Amino acid sequence: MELEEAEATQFLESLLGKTLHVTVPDGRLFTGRFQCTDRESNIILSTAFEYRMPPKASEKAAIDEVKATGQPRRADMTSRFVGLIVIPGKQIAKMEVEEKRDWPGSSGQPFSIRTKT
Amino acid sequence: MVQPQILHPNTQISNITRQFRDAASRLQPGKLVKDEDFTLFEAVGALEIGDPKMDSGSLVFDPDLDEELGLSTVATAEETVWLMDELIRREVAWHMGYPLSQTLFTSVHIERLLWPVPRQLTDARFDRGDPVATRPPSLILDVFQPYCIGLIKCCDLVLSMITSEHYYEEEDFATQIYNRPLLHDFPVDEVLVMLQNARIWLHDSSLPAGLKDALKARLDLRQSLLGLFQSCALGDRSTIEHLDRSIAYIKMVESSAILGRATANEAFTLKIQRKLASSVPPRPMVAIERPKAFDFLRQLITESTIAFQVFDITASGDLLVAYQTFMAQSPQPAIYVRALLQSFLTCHDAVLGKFAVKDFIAQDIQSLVRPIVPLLDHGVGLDDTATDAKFHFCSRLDSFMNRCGHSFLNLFRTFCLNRCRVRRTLCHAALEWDQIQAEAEEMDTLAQSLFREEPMPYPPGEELTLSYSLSSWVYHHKLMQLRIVVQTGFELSIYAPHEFTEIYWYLSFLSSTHLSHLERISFFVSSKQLSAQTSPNAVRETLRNLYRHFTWLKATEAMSKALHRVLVVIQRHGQLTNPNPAYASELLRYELRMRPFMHLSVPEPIDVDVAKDLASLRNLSDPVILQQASQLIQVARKAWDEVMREKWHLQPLSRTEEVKSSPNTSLGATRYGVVEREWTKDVQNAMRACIGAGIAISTLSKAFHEGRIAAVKVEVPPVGHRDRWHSSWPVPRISG
Repeated sequence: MELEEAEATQFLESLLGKTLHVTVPDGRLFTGRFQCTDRESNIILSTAFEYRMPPKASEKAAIDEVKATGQPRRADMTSRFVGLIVIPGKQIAKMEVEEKRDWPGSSGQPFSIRTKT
Repeated sequence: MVQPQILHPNTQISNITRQFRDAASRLQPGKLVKDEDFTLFEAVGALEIGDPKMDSGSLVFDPDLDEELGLSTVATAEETVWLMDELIRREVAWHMGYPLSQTLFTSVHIERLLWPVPRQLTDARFDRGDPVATRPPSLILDVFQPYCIGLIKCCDLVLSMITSEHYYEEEDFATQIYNRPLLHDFPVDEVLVMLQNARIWLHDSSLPAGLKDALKARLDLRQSLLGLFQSCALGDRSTIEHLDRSIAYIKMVESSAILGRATANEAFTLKIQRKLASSVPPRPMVAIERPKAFDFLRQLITESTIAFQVFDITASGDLLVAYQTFMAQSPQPAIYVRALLQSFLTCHDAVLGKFAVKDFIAQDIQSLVRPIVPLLDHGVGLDDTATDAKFHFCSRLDSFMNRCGHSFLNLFRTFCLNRCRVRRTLCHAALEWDQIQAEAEEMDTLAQSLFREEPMPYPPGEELTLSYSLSSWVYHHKLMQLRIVVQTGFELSIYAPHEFTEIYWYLSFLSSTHLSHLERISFFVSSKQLSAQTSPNAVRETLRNLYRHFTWLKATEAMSKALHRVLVVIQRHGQLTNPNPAYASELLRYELRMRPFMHLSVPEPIDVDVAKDLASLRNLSDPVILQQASQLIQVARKAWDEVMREKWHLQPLSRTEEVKSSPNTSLGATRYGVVEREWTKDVQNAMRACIGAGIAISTLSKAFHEGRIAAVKVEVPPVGHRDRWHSSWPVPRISG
């Protein structure tokens, strides 16, 4: 049990300072720097942004337009800065961590479109 | 493990929901995993997501939120009138310090014009994104839209003015614009053209006359506000005629407000708060009641216009009185006006657009102390025979004047702050001026040897001493600031009534110190040595200046001494006594009250026991004290009379072209001479307080002689009460 807790703590500590993407039940997504958590999975994110799905009406309008014209059309999510936030554990519908991607086979070189050819 | 999702070639996101929950649940209760640098103290300020009281984006109680904000592009003339008036109520609320998110940014129309941020002025449209071709002319697009653009541009000019001067966020004004620049990049003139076109459209329309006039008046008011803010931004004086017109428009707007009718669609909503960048919880909508909003607007326009009267002032001392008096008005001028007055100090890089800072301060020093050293052009007389010492002195004098200039101008700025900040800033400034005084003394010492000043006995017949002109000037300003610190303490109700005795004693101490300082200055100014340097006229001018300060201080000294005595007697007989709560001590309270004065080199801090002893007048009997009080109050009366005779300014005011050309100059001057009016009111109120104190003294003496002094009732009317004649002069009211 003690070992398990140590492992759990280690895992959680490894996430500190990373950017988390947290979705809440009403569909909004929050991104921010992970600062703190506890047993109930309450989390604190700093310099957080809130993203909301576009309103149903403009989404529908975009889809209709795509159908009618065949041209791609976007209905953007709206975002705003919300600063320091607490997300209670029970509000977390989905949690993701953003990480640097290691390009397979590369020697630590960051991926770039140009090197692909 | 779930396959990571690739967001960008270099970034991926992995779902860790279960892993995280699982790991967290293994923590001991109460244990936190947290970043080293993160403190729980910070966490207190975090917004809780999902809590509708904290989270302005929460959807819990509003399933309809995902609807686009409804914005109808049709409105009747009645609705347009209503919309304009509702906007004014919110605009005023913003002027008063509420954030845009609670005021103008609750308007769906304003939001539509500002978001997404327009790249060109023509992008700021209600029907943005709609097909352009089929646009029938409408009140909303042709009248209300330009009106809103005019309003936003007004806000932009107001914001620029305030943020370029000293103000206090939250206390005075909320500057947050939520990434919506208020049409900042677009020229005012284009907006004025839009308003003009709207007026033409209205003129040609077939609306009923009453509604047409109501809408016209609103456009005219907007146009004149925009014009006013524009000229203020440029430092141009707008005319009294312009002011009269604006006031007339407000009257028309006010009287036609009854024609307005609320729109069926929701025109103002808190939903917009969910879109604004915000680290604060959702807050309620604020709109000022209509009559108050119009009163505010009237005052704002009037004061923004007449503030320019200070440009007629030609002397620094008069300007200081003007700033002090203008800002002591109750209610205090709006933050916009307070910023405007600050901007005059750097108008076209010069004080009032005409005095270089150095000339300005040199003039102030000259008019008060007539120093033996030439303050300006002192380099001119230097030739090959000049010594190194002289060169050295000149460069030091230059840098001293630069440093002083800064502090001196800050004194004017300080009066433009809100009242609590005026006092607080003066407390800090006193320390700074104490430091400046030490530097000035060094300069004086250098000047004495360099200019071979002869020592003279002062006081006459006593030890030899020298003029110390520069440091005398500094000390004068420092003492004035200290006095204001004490007097604004009364005004802001900082002291409890049982403390008044000691505070009045300290005020009389400060004014006595100041009076003897002025006497010393006038002795040296009129001495042959210094007066030989300047014209007899200049010396006479300085003596007159000193005399004016002298009368004011004499009145203050005598009145504070008299009131000190009244309060001593009252307290001796068990009234207004210290409630002595368990947690308080005399020493702590004394330290607290004297904090601004305790670290000064002069006047020397007074030990608590000495102060208590002096303030108690313990060697004097009640009848003697009352006798002294009644003599002192008569001295004060005479001194206030003399102050009133002297008027508020020393130097004549320069009359502007506009006033000269106006046929009823005297009428205009009395009607709009704001400093004159306020200054006179201030002195009159001080006189009334003086009379009140006289009555208190005779009531008290009578009660004493009839042996019922312990039975009298004592009350000190609080600030704002009808019987509080002057806010900085609390006078006990004695009955029974």
